[in-house]
Amino acid sequence: MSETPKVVKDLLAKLIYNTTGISERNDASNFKICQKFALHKIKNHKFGRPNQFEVARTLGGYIERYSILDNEATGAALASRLDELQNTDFQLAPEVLTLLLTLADRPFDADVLTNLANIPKKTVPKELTWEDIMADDPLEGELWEDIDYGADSDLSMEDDGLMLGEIRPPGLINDTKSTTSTVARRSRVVKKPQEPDMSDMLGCFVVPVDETIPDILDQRQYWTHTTKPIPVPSSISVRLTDNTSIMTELDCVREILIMLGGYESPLFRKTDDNTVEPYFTDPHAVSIDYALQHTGNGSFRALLRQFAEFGTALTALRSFLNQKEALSTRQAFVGALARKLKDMRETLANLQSRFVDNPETTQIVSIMDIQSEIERHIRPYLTLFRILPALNTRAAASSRSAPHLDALYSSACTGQMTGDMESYKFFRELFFSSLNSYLRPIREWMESGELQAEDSAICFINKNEEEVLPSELWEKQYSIITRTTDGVPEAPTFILPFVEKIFTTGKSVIFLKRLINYEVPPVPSVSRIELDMSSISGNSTYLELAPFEQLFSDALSAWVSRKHNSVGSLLRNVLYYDCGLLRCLDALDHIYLMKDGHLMDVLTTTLLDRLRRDREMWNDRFLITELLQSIFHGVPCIDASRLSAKHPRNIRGGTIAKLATINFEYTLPWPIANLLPPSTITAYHTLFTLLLQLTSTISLLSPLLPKNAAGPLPPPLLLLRHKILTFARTLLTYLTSLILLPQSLKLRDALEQVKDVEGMINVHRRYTKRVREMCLLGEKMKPVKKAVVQILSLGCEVAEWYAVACKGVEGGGGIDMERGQHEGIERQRRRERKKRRVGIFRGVDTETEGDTSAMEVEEEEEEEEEEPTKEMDLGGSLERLEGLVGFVRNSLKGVSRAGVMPHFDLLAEEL
Amino acid sequence: MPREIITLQAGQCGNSVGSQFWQQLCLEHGINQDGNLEDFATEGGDRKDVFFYQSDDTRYIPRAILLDLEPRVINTIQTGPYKNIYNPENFYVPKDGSGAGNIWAAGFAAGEKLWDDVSDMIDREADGSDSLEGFMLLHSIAGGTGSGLGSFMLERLNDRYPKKIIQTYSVFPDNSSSDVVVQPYNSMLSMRRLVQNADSVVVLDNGALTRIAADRLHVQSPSFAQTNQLVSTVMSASTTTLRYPGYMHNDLVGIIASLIPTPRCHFLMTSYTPFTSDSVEMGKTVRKTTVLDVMRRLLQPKNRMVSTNVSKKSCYISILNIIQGEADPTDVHKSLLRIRERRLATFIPWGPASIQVALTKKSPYVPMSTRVSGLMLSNHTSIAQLFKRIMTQYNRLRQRNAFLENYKKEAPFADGLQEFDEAKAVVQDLIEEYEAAENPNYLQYEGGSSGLGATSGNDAREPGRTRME
Repeated sequence: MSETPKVVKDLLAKLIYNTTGISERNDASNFKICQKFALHKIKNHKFGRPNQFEVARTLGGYIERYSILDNEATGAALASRLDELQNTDFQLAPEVLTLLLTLADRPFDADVLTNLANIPKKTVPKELTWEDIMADDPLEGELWEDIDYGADSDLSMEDDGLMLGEIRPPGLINDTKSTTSTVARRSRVVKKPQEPDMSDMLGCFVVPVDETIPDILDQRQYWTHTTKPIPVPSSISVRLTDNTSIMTELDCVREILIMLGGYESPLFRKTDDNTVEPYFTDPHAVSIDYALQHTGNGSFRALLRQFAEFGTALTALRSFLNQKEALSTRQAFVGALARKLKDMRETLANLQSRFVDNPETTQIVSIMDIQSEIERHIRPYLTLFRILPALNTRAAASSRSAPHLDALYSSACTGQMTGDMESYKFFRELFFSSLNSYLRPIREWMESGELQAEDSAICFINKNEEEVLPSELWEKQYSIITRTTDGVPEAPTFILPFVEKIFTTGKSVIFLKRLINYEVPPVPSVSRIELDMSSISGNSTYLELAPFEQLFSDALSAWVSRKHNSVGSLLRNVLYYDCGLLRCLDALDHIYLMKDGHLMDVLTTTLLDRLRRDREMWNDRFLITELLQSIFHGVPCIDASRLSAKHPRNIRGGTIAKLATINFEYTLPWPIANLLPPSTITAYHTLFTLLLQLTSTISLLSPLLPKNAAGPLPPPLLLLRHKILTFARTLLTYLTSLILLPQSLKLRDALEQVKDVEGMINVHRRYTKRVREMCLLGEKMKPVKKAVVQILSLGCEVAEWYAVACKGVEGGGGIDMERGQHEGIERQRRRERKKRRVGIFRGVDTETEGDTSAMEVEEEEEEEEEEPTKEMDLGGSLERLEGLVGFVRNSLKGVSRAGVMPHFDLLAEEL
Repeated sequence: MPREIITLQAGQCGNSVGSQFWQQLCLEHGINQDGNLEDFATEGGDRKDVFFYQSDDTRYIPRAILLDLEPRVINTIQTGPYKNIYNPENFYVPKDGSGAGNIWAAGFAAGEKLWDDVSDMIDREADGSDSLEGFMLLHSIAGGTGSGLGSFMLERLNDRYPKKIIQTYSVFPDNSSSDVVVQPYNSMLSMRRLVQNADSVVVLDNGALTRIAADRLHVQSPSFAQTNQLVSTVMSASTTTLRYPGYMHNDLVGIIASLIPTPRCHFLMTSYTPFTSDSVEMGKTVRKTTVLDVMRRLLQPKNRMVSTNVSKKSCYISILNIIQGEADPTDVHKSLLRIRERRLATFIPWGPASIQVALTKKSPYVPMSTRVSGLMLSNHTSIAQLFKRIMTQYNRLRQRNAFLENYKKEAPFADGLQEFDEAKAVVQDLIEEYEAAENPNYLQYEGGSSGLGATSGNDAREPGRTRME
């Protein structure tokens, strides 16, 4: 933060001293507190300059009003002084004038022009002249004495023919008169101006009351107290009673205009709920009945009712102005409404002046005429009055959805659609006046990625104040506030289509600030107008008939896109190229999606080997981490040190179930982790598990067939092996060649196309979702996945039988342990299988002969302890396999026929 | 942790094919004639270490051992353009260099004498591997060295490295016309070792190769170089999945496991399309290749590199299609669907009818004239016809006891000609098993010497031989 300038500090010190009497000398500690408080206030307060045009307009209004109030002299004086001020280059004139206007107290009643004379005139010292100087300080002395050139030559005078005295300058004449006048001039200069008379000054604050005025007014308003009807011959039947007061139409117009101006009138009364009613609506309160000479009572009353409606609307709108609004956007709305009501007041004033101030012209007084004229002007106010109740609730006043904006927007659209151009313009102006204060925090968010605390009540973006990991910055730091009822963002309807873009732009800026030295453009002044009619139509009048909805939507879209596109594409490029998004995706493909099948084979084989050797510690997380790092350390796109295994779950079950417990993580760089959030990485884990199960089954079933056999292998066993192997390979081919490879390419293409980060996240999210579903891992495909796992489990069982059988037929020849022969059969599983099996295959001799490795001996001992694997229900297993494969095939065909996943048809046919 | 493969080249044919194969691999991996990486090939992304290792001066050296009993072909290689890529210590030609004279027994007997030296070479190469996957033997079964020495090595390798995979690329003789009169004997004797000691045999029928070269390359009588070009193309395509990391089929064991469901039926046929040749102008055919076209052509018998008559009963046991180039996976699977719908491929009635497909990368350094190319490795029962033809020719010779003198001179036949009878029995069993596999009740098949899934009852191991991991 920059240092506060010294001049400001000194001024603050003065202010503190003048206000509190505390100075740095007399009470240093309190002074510091005061100074800190004052500094905080001035730094957090935006000192906007007063609107000079508004000041000029107000003063112009004063001049006009003075002329109306028959005080033209004051108006002229004011005008002349304003002109004078305008010719000066005094820059703080608007501020000073605003101050004076704020201090003004009843300027139209209390002003006394003559007081101007009492204001001390600023006397400008007369410009110094040589005469004055010489008058004050005459040039006397020897130096200034006249030189007598003739003293030495008598001829001089004769030669020239002139007297010396005639050419002497007047100031040099040392005469008495001259000296006296000089002294007098000096005294005039030194003399101070006289103090004005204070008694005269105070007079301007005293309002002289003319005691006779109320009486005059009362007499003039004869209808308020005249109870006797004045019989007037008329063709219209006017019902007259004893307390009927006949009014002239002009007086009636006067009362109506007064009522519409918000003042009390005997023709109308105001109820407690601010409704204006004609005087006759409450018969008990009526003391005087009013009538017009030439109008029927019914018609007169109908007119009064209508004017009462107008009055109700204006009163309600005026009372709305008195409310305290907490949100700036509402304040802007109220301010705009106040201006509109002022316009209405001017309209009414013009109507009044038509009857008052035009003695030369003849005016036809007609209530009907007035009614039609007022109706024309008041229509938008009536519409606004109708929608006001919805805006006047506490919920509406504090809602981020800014219902008043929506209401104004839709009213403007409706006005245009119905051809009511007055209403259209009225609401359009109100809308834009209110809109800009709503857009200000949005603009700040999009440009600087900052949300001011006071803006949180307006903006639909919420900041999570808790500490968030850098990798979750994009997803968790900020969120869109939504309505609890329907989950729609809390924003005006017309903003809703742009909410995501706005949200993304701000987040992109925050991201860029963290990633690179991103320079936020300077924050413009508060009064900057974001959108108005000119920015929509470019001041083209021919666009008046173009749909406002479309025009505004286009303009808003352009406004949002202007900021969104530049920031979004910059961040996208930074992430895409500088942060190595593609490299990370390649790494994920290699690690989780077996892009390099050879590395996956090595991983599978080693895991199976460990599982066979040590069933307790095979999945130790440190060992698995070391294994993963050693396997992937040579791959260029992978930083092997980021690989770490998680603590595995210990579950009982077969090889396939145990393999599903392998869980490890590849820690992505934080910018990329924001693009590939953990929810999508879960899909990679799930896919990896399925691929690992498939490759494990293939690996277990793939060992070489015995060449030097001493006895035959059971044919069903060979067939089982072949069928499961074919099934697993077909499924793996489908997953890799038809899903993973093309989808991975499509993902890269799509990432190349998108313009912003949110797009990238969505593309990747859709990719993982699609791949999951296509790889039989969707929710609806659970039974199929279960059947596949059962087939693979059966494959592992077959592999065990096959290994034992091979050992038997080889007669001690041994088999390739490096290929991951899995001979370990868990006791529990054996017992369970024993119960299941119906047929028993016998004839496999597990005894080994010849030289066997220590490992084999150990396993044999273990098997002898546990009971050798002699039971193979090959027939049953074949049936079971057929059943499961049939189920998978039929299910896939069913899903394919439903048109959801056409790919499944290909797989079903190949199985 | 690469799964290294050591290539053994035996005999004239084996070394000629091998030489072409290594040239092809060098081109594909951007290795120049000195074994150094070309400037444009430093990006990586491939697995050169499966077939090459790097010497101290960072040159890439093939994991190859070149054996022959006569020096002509080896000399050609040692003086050829790629002479510097090989490890000079991995050439083996006996000092006398007289050859095996197209006699299997001579080659087999020579193997006994030179085994110590050769096994040292093999052990050295195996020790230089982190995780040896197995061996690839390139040879022909008609001559003396490739068949005899090759058979000997198969036996010994099987004993010495019982847990390692042994795959052979075996060139079978053209039964209709052959210069070697005793080729039925040699073939029969080699067949026994191929059945008993190899995990997988890729059969390359010389007759079919000549026919394909004539048809596809528009050459009346193709040279050995041209047929070898076909073989090296097939070999390179079939090892693409091992050399370029992809999702699947990254190890030889996995490929073989899916293709070979029963131990004895491990003879694989190949088809490759489209064949083009830069050296033959007519070979540069302009054509439009789609995935479906390629997959359909691969199933055509005329593209198979084994000449067999497809009977009504003959069927596929398994198929693996290796597709290279710009293949859209969806097109591949749609093509599979279409092949299935139109029943273009008949499968065994007792097992799954599934065509496995591997989509592989192709070398960025070797321009392909076609958009898509494909190799089919298949296990087809009609291959038994090839064996039958060998059997018939063998029977004719054997009935007459013709040309046996040269065999009787050598050690394996010193005690009699039982070796012939045993070999014939093994091949006969194999033929019967392939025929049985065409039937639905194959699972109940108990023919042969010991029923389904069993290999010959004769244990080829000899006591006293050491075993190695």
